[in-house]
Amino acid sequence: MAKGPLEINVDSFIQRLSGVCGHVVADKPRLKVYETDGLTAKKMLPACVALPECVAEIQAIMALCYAEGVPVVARGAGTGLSGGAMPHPEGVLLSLAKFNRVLEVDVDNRIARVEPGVTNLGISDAVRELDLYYAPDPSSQIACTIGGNIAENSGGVHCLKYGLTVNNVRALKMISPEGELYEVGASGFDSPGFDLLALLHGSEGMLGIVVEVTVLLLPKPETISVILAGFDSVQQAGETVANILSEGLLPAGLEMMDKLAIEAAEDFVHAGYPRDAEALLLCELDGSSEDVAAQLSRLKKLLDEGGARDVQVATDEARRAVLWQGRKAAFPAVGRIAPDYYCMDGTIPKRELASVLAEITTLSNHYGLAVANVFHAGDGNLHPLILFDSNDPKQLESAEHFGADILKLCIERGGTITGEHGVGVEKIDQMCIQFSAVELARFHEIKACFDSTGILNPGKAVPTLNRCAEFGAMHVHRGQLKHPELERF
Amino acid sequence: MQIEELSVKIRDHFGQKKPLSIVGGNSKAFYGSDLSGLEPISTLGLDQIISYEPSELVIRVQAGCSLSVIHAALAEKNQMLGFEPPDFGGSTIGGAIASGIAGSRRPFAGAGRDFLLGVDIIDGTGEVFTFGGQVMKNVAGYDVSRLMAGALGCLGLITEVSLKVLPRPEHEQTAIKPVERAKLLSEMKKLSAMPEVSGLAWWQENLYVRFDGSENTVKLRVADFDGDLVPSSFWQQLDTMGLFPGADRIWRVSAKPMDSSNALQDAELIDWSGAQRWLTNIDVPAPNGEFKGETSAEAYRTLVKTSHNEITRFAPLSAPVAALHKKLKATFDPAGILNPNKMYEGI
Repeated sequence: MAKGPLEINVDSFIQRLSGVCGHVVADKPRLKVYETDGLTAKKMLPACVALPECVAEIQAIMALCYAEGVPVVARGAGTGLSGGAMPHPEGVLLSLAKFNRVLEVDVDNRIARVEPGVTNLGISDAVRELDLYYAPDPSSQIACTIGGNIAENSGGVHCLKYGLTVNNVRALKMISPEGELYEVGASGFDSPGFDLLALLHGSEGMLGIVVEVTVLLLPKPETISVILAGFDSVQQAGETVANILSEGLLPAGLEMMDKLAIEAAEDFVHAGYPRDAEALLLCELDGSSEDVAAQLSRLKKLLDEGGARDVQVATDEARRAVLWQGRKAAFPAVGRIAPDYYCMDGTIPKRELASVLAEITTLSNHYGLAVANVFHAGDGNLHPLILFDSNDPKQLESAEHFGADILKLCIERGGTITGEHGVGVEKIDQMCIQFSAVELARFHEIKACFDSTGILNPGKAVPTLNRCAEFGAMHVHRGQLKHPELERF
Repeated sequence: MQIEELSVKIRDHFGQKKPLSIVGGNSKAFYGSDLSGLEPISTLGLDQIISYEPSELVIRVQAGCSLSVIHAALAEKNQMLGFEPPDFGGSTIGGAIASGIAGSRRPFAGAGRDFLLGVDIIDGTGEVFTFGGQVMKNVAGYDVSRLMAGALGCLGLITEVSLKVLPRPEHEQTAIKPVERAKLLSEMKKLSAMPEVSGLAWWQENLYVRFDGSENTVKLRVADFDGDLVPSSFWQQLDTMGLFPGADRIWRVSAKPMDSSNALQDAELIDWSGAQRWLTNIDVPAPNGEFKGETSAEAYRTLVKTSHNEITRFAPLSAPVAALHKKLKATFDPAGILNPNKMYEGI
């Protein structure tokens, strides 16, 4: 078990930490800044914050914490939505904010080496004039960092065609809990041995500290078209999504919004969305101008057949930006119509969309809380936004129960509890539903391969089996308890 | 054998510490150390397509299902496996994923690991696990699925995989024109930026380009390229190493696409838009000895196929990474009975 600094005297530990790291924050008012990430309902003050400036400093910090058994929680911009960067009360919060440089842009090979604290959009900005960009674009891209994107394996609206973070990163430099520097991946397309590069993606800061990232850059598409279409029912919109994909189109983005989300977005940004529609699809096509023209004519036919109305096509950049603005501002737009909202992140097979949304409406009535739905329709990733008022503790509790019910529903329909936001502290109980005891035990064993004393982000992402027993959910795989002869707790 | 029988067999072997060689179509036995002396365990009984719905862009199949059966099922709905796994004759999807060998579309679409959404495995104790999902996005738990891709069965026997699939391009054509070695990389760089290019190789002084997309677009690109049309079957021949019949040793160097130092001068075949370079009939260098492909830290080499009984075929790992391999092996296969030493000694 890791021993916290509180047991070994915080002040003397901070003194030793200051000996290896030039910038340590330990006074309460300034620690407040770090008490939460994007999941603001979960707050915790760290024992202290370290803001290293170079790799050697991180190595020294890790070596010290490893030697003394002090927990370390890495943090980028703190925009994560599942509490993955929530501090440990007896640990060091390791801020990578000062690692914000683009180290090298290799135009010939279309890769860039960047530090983990560079923002997602900062990478694309750095290569914009070279007609290149970095493809994954989580909605927080203006603020979120590439290090955090790796920890969560972030997606975005374009991952249907261009993949997630794991598909767009070539190599990582990591620091182990012991303070050892190592590299995984390569600047070419593959590397020898096991795919540790993939294993580290989405590992939520539990396996190592990312200190350098080699990302893949893509040539900017010659032509982009954005198509908006309104529908009289969610069912129609869902069927049209299915038809678009089965008819051989692979849009760069394919997004859906329901009525409440449409209304909130339209009131907020006036993008010209059809307020009277029950559902709206936004579809982005990209490629060479000839190819986009060919795709567009096929898409229009499918939209017609699907009963779409109010179809708008935007090709120039300004108009495209307006159409996207409503979708991209959907979260803040919903934030205007209720004091608080709770953003969920389940994934479902697309065929289940209409029935899952109907079930969410039933739950919404049951809990007496409204819900707006935005949906990465192309890849089945649902973001229900549950509206509530945190000043009413009952509503907060209801919202959390409502959210948990939605995640359970996603698993029942063949989906998963998180498509792109991660488990963190938020969905740790739902992990007990998605995975069996042996699978969870294996996750703990994998962590131990990388972090034998468990100092990295302890208590996140993977629940203990005790916790699952207390939560009262033990996942039974395909209706059979595996190895019934084994004791379960 | 079905999953339960496979699990029982592995559990028995675990108890007796008796190694097993995992075999699917047995079409890639050449890859990695020779395990022909070990008792085989076959996945061929797991030959079903479990589910496939074109609008989900996901197919769920058992590991012993042959690539040809999967290709046919997907082709019927105008879809395909994006990573174009080479079929060496009876190759199975389990082997394609476990080997990590990807075809010519790799630089433009991705490898097996990029399309892998979930796996079921049996580990070295006989325990059955489900990792990942059957949906396009899933970040719950560590990504054990992708860890299995390219692990050569050293961490578990794959029983089932869920894969993202892609629409089949409406039209496809392959064209060639002579390009000298010195100008090769700059030509490849230009072409690889075009969204319609899905294959880019250089063989016998000719640049081979595959264009795909809408019919009209492909025709325009082919006309611009101004070369001669050749059958697209060239890519299958390339991917299955059919261009080197009878070679004594086949080496592959993986490099940055535009790397002008590593193996560029000596490679007989250059694929993957420059990133995969093939050399044949070069001896295994002595430890610390020079390799004709002069591989530096920026690139690495693999002895893909050899007619000699060589142990070391894969590039060495750094000490910390090798230590992680050992720990992961001990976690998934504590008795070291699954494909032992296939990739590295002790792994």
